[in-house]
Amino acid sequence: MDWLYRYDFDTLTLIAVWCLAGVLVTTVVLFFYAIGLRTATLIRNRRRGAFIRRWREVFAMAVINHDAAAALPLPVVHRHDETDLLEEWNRVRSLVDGKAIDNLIVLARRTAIRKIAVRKLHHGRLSSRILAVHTLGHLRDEGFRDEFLELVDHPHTVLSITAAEALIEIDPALAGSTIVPMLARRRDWPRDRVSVLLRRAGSERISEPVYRAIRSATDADKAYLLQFTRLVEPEVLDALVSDLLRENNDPAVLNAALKLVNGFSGVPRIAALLRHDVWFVRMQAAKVLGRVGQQEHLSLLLELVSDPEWWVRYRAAQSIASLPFLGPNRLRQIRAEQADPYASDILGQAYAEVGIA
Amino acid sequence: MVAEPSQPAPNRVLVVEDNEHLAFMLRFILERSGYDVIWAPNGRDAERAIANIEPVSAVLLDLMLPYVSGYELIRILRDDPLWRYVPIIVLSGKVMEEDIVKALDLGANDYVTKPFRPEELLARIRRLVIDNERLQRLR
Repeated sequence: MDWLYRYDFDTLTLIAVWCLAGVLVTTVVLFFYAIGLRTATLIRNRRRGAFIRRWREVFAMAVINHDAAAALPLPVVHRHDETDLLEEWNRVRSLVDGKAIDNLIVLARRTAIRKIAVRKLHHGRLSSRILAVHTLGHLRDEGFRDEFLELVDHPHTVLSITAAEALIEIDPALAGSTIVPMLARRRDWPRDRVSVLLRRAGSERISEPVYRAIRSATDADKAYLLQFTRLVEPEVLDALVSDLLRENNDPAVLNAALKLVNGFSGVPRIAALLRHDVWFVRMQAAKVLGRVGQQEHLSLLLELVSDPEWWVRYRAAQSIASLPFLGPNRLRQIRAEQADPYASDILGQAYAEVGIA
Repeated sequence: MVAEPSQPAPNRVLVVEDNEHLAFMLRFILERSGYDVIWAPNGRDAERAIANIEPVSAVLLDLMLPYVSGYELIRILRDDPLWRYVPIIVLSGKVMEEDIVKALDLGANDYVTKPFRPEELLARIRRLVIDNERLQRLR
């Protein structure tokens, strides 16, 4: 660097030159570092790809053939492949059902899958623990039942819902005795995962517990829990909806319960709700009467086509248009009899939707 | 003019599935059972396959697909004079009654929910292929 001092540089220029040199060196170092990282990633991905391809074939073979699951030669698993092995096995396990699951469990017993999962459960990071719970649940490992019962109460959402799913795999009866009673306080659990979990447990196991949980819940919890009742057996659901409509006056609960009305039980109470103070209860009641309403409900529905709330008028008009005992001529006559222009307008719109001019 | 339904290529199944892992599994299972498999990873590729290849023995179809939905593909298949008699088996994660009814109303021959039982799926495909071949001979 003697050449630098042959010139009459001032200090600032000297600093600038050194900075430039520093930046250049850093850039070159970073460039090679990035190339190194990229190369390492490519090599790792290629190795992972080859590993997964080998195991994927083994798993696929096991899925369709029990003998293969019990006797196939298994590829070697190195320590750095363990997570990939667990993820791939779980992935395949989630795709299939029936005998294929038994075959996959037979295959898993021949590998270190359980041992790896147990190690990850007790010594791993959170993501590894979640993978371990998922795996042990998929293995239907009875030995972890108590541990998972504790994990269901874990504050971490993903870990706790994964433990709940694992419990259902191990013992579906736990859905009714353990999972359903805690649904109201675990609102952080994703609803679609809860629905899948309840479906896997089976409606015969969850119907009564869901009924009891809703009956004993607060009004706020009732409305939340009612969204899971589509998986409940129809006769239990009918009884629950009738009870709620008869005994409850909370608008959110009434709204949720009305959406579940499927038969003709409780029609007088539904008709009475057409005069509820809260507009969305009136709207839901009007909508239900479109399906189950009788001749005597027509006058009540006609009152609602003059309701101050547009949605109530609209649903009432749609319900009138769908009442099976009213023909097109009678419907036109009803509209002609309306003194209120809003009522006439909304009936005209509802009729047009079903092709009545 | 409606073309005469042509004889389907022997033991060929078009699998329309965007999940690569499931597609591999289906392909493996079907090939082991003696079927040739053509895989379309999305609705657009499936549409191209329908336009460019001979009708197959059966179509195994997911409903939630990129670009063109499974419902739309059922409609396309049933409107195509060459493919209209090809049995369609829907393999979907959608388990709601209305989804199943919609697919069957559009023209699907069978509906299997995920996760699926491999042996059962194969039996359904086998049954539909045999029934369709009999019908083709009668037409």
